[in-house]
Amino acid sequence: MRWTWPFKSRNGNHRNGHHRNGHNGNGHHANGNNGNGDDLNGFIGDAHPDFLCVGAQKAGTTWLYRQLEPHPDFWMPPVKELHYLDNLNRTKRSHPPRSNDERDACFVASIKDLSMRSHIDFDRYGRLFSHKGHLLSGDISPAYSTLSDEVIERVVDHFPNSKVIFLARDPVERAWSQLSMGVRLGVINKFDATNPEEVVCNLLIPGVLARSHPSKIVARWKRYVRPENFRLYFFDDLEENPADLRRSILGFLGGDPEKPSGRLKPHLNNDAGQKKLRLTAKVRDRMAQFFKHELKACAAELGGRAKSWPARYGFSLVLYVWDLLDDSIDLFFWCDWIC
Amino acid sequence: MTCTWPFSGRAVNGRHKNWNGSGANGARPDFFCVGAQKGGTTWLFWQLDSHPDFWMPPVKELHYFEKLSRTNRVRPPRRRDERDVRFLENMKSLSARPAIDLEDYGQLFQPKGPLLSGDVTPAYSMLDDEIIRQITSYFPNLKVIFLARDPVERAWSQLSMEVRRGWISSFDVSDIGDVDRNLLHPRVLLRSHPSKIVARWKRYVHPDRFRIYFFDDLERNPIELRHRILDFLGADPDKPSKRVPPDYNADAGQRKLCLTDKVRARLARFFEHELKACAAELGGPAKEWPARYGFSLLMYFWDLLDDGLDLFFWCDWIC
Repeated sequence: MRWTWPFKSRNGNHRNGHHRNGHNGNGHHANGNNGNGDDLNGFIGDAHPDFLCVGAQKAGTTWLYRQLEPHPDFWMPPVKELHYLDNLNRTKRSHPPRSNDERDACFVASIKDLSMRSHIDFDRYGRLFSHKGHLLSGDISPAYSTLSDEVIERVVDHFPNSKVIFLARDPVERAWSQLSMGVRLGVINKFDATNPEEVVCNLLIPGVLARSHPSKIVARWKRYVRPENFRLYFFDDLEENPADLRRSILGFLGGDPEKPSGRLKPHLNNDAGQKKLRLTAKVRDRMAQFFKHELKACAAELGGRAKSWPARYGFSLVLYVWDLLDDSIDLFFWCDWIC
Repeated sequence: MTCTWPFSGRAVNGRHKNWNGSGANGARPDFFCVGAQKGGTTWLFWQLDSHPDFWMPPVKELHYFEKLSRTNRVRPPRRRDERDVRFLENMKSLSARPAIDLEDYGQLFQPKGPLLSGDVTPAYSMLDDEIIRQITSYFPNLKVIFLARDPVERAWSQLSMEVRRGWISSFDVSDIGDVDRNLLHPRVLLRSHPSKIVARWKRYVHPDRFRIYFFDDLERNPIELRHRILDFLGADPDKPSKRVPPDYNADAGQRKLCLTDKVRARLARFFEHELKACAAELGGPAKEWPARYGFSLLMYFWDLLDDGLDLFFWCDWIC
């Protein structure tokens, strides 16, 4: 038995091997590596992101970028969110890109060129990262949490050794934080933040809804990324002990956790002092009700800190686990139907 | 043991009582057809639209759940009577709002009265789990249909259509690089994996209310396919669809791009994994798809078996 994973096309064994052949005229591609973890040979001389951080929006991804950018083991792209895989980088930026040196200018020019094309070009996207040299680099685009299976499969297939990180946050708090930001930036119309039904209306904005189900996002990525390449972290840990969280993420990415991130302290919060909407108890209850199923799914499927999320809102997990058990018994009947 | 299903939130079991209750007595669609684009959905719409047991909306594709109906239409909508006008007005005001409103969306279907009605929007094949779950939990009795088509043929048909309509610029149809690039266009890529689309909907729709049909059957025997679909939707298959014969093809005579053997082989390689996944997961005529391109299923099953054993280790990692 090999160490493989469902839908293992992503680790470049023969199944999809040929289609990669056709894409790159340069003859560089994963040569049937089995994903032992040490076989980066398929990409020698060929740039690719070492990692992707795929969300969640409002769960500490900016904190992560700020920690990695000045760290001596990393060269991070001059823009935090590349948004390439979700909309070919055709986004309006709220900040101008960093322009410290030639590498930054080069990166910005290449990604501009890339976003003029109508299709996803994985090889060129990978080559954006050639400026990193021997340092670590990655793409922190929380919008990748909304990518669907079809795209994730191709991404992982092209970059079988890229690590994937997801920062999970309690869906009630996360959604509220997104609504606050949306109103602040003017992308969501002002609404009565004390009216539970109006709030629920805003939770049903497609851009909010699609980012509010960490259990589903994680399930999508886990279907394709090898377990040793995927890690889930919790916003709860960022609040309680950012130094620890920083250490474990750096350790996973292969950076040295002991080296400081310039003069930056691990607890820096870019958004501190930003205006937030006030969350009343009534609205909080209504949101919890809206996310009840998801809160329980997170506790059961993400584990870790998510196990305590349902209890915050007075939900018990016993019934949920019972339902799941019940459902798995039904799976026997499901089989009849497939045939 | 109750007859529930993974994520049984879609059943009216109180989880979403607050906003489930309000729509319970109101109008709602009886069914969705969620694709595939180029899989025969226009054929289906015309069959249903002229069938006496149905009242179909005045536009074929509502595009509500992926774009809030903010689309440019190729054809002007039907305006036959008061019902059509009311439907279009309501849809317009619905799409002016920033969020999905399931209750008001359901109300769109009020003009149907006691007849059957539904939303045939192939773009719903691209909806994510999050939205599918909201839809199916709000409309727990909704039936869902998917018309599956060999991904190679489907993608080629989509490219032909897009070039014809000027959505993508003409390209060298004998150049493998050009074809590859167009397959990697997100609009094409996202519609080209029937096994994943079906898996997403099956996670939330009860098996009794979900059916896959095959474009292959539409080509071979449209009368029989029409019969089976009408039967599933609860209509009388023996009543004829006025004005429209069962083998009516609105696209017949449209210009298609020429598919050379070399490009066909390239498309097949691009979709090799998907073709095998379809054979294994969709069954039916899809079982013959890989062999069309000379692929064997044996290795695929061996790999799956292998993966199944690995699942034991997976459990360690979850904890």
